[in-house]
Amino acid sequence: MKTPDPRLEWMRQYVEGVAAAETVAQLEQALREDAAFRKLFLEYLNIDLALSTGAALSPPNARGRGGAPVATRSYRLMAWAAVAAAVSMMSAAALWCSMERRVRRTPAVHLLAGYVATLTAQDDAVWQQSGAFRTGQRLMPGPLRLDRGRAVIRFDAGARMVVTSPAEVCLESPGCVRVISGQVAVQAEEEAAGFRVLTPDGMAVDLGTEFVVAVHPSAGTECQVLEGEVEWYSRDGRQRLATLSRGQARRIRAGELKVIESKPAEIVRRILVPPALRAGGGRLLAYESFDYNEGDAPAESLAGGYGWLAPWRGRYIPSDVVDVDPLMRVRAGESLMFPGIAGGEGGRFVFHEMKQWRMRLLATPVEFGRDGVYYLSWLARRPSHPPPVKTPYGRMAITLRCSTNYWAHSISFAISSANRPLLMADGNNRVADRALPANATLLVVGKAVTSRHGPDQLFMKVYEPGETVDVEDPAVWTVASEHLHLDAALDILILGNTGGAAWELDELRYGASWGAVLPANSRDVTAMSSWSACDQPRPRRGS
Amino acid sequence: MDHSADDRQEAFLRLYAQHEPALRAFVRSQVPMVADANDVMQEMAIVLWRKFGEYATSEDFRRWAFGVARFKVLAWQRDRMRDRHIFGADLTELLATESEIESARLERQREVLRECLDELPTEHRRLVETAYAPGTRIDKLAERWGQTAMTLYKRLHRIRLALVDCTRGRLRQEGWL
Repeated sequence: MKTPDPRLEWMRQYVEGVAAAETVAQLEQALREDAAFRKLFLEYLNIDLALSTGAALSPPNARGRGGAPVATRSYRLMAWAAVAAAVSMMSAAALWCSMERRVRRTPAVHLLAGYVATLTAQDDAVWQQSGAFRTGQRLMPGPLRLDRGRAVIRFDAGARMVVTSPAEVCLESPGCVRVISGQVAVQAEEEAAGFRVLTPDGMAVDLGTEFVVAVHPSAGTECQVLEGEVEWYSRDGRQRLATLSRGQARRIRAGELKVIESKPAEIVRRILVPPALRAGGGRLLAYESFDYNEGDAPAESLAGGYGWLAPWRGRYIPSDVVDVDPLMRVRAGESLMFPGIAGGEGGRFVFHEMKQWRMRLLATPVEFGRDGVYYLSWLARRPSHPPPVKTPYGRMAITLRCSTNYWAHSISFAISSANRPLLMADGNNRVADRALPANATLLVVGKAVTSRHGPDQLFMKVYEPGETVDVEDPAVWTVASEHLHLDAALDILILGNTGGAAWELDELRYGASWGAVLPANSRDVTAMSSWSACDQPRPRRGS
Repeated sequence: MDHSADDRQEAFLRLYAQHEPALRAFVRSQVPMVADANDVMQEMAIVLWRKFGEYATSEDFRRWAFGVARFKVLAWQRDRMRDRHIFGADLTELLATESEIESARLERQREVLRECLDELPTEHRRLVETAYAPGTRIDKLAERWGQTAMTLYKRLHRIRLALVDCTRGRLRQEGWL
């Protein structure tokens, strides 16, 4: 007889609020160690939540077309209208202070699975760890020593940290770093508030701000706040020793805080966060601007751009789906444009409503068996509204496959027939929860992080008109995959359209860094700032 | 973006209603007791309302709201630092991150749950509806039905696991898994 999984009983007790401390500790350990169990845990809680709120138990005639219970939604709106009215009479300061002046517990253990941050930029960086870190690479918990240069690390909880050499830090979690020696500058905007910097002399807790911490192993730790506020806690994290505001600086040693002269914020920023530190560094590996003559032409006659080993061609792999049109349609002189991004030359490629695939061999494959980071970007526009009947798995996608084993592995960055961003990798699909507008030019960025020994991961970001394009890997992606374990070199890039809607594509770029595939338009470069404190125009990112 | 008071309120309520299920799912994953989770939700909503106005797009609102929710959960945990019945901050962060990443799939799971409930044996469906009805106390229900409370808790647990299996099957068919 199969022994029941004891973790399920721990989970039950936790959800019902009857778990003893020992049971919670066992459950906690199990959740840390097993990603599949965490997934089950979230699903189990989600079921309990839906039943608790009555969302799943309301009668069918109370539900709207989208599945949301109409009565419940109305009730929620009324309830929150009451909340809104009530809080408008309360003191904002009291509310804000009660929420923000808190501190997290210091985590003592490293997460056993999962990445916690991304290396988003580096400048002349030399790391002690064997093998160079690639810009865009995901980072596991653990120590890092920067012997030369600077590096920018974006934590998954949102904070951005600039490390200046020589420095030794240890990534603890998505919201925590330990600085062993050296200097770091942290920017944690409101959504990343609560970020912690652990030092030998105590802990800084960010309250939505920008600050610098310098650890001198034999002379204590210095902390200077450039914007906002930082709380400084004792080493065990249980006693708040001070709250530092903008322009204040302290040296902390042996539990004592001493006021020190603060350096002008602008000088500190220019030293620590020079505008030249950008997310470039990687090459543009392939480019296609569809600079061809107007009209329909055999795919094999289109061989422009660079970074390709062959011209475009139709789908030639045996398939039960027949490619109905061997021609590629180009609209010359009408390039798609996106504010801030270089382009606007050549034409655009037009997908008609019928199923259609076009493929091309890349000179540089995406190699999942090695450590690497690859980016794709392109502009896409759906000139019409979604078709009334959605194809279940219909999509417009850029897919990568292997020329020597076509069906073995694939990854796709797609927009579904319901106009939602969609990631696909060997059957592991992830769809975003927001629909994209029709008849608007979208900027789509795909990223593949490959690892020789660790998990692989895919990301996709879609910018709509009016959105500011990030200058480096963003803190939040539109959709991201689970951890994958692929082992293939994907060298065919396929443009595919199966969603029943026409699409137009342009400015297809494939490269080894964010900056390589998103070269800024120098005429519009100031619109792309992300480090708000840097007030001078940013130079054009080269490709 | 400038809003009049009415516009601001309406915009907030629409965005809040849109994202509230995902936020509640996240908070619930971090806070074991429903009553505590409700308290955290309420505090979070007050803060969101107070600070609303600087976030004009739905994408910004969602990201910001999750940040506030995360902070409120951590604040709640901080208040119970000596309580060993809650998860550590590192696990909280891990669950928070994965909960956000999975939010679309979890939302879809809540949608297909209804179909799975319809497939439950009548007796199980009745137990779920009764146990989850507002104001129901399991011990009183057990007394009325001539069973022990523990028996009912374990039956509900098995039904929840069956519903997880059922919803997974449907999500798999739809290509989510």
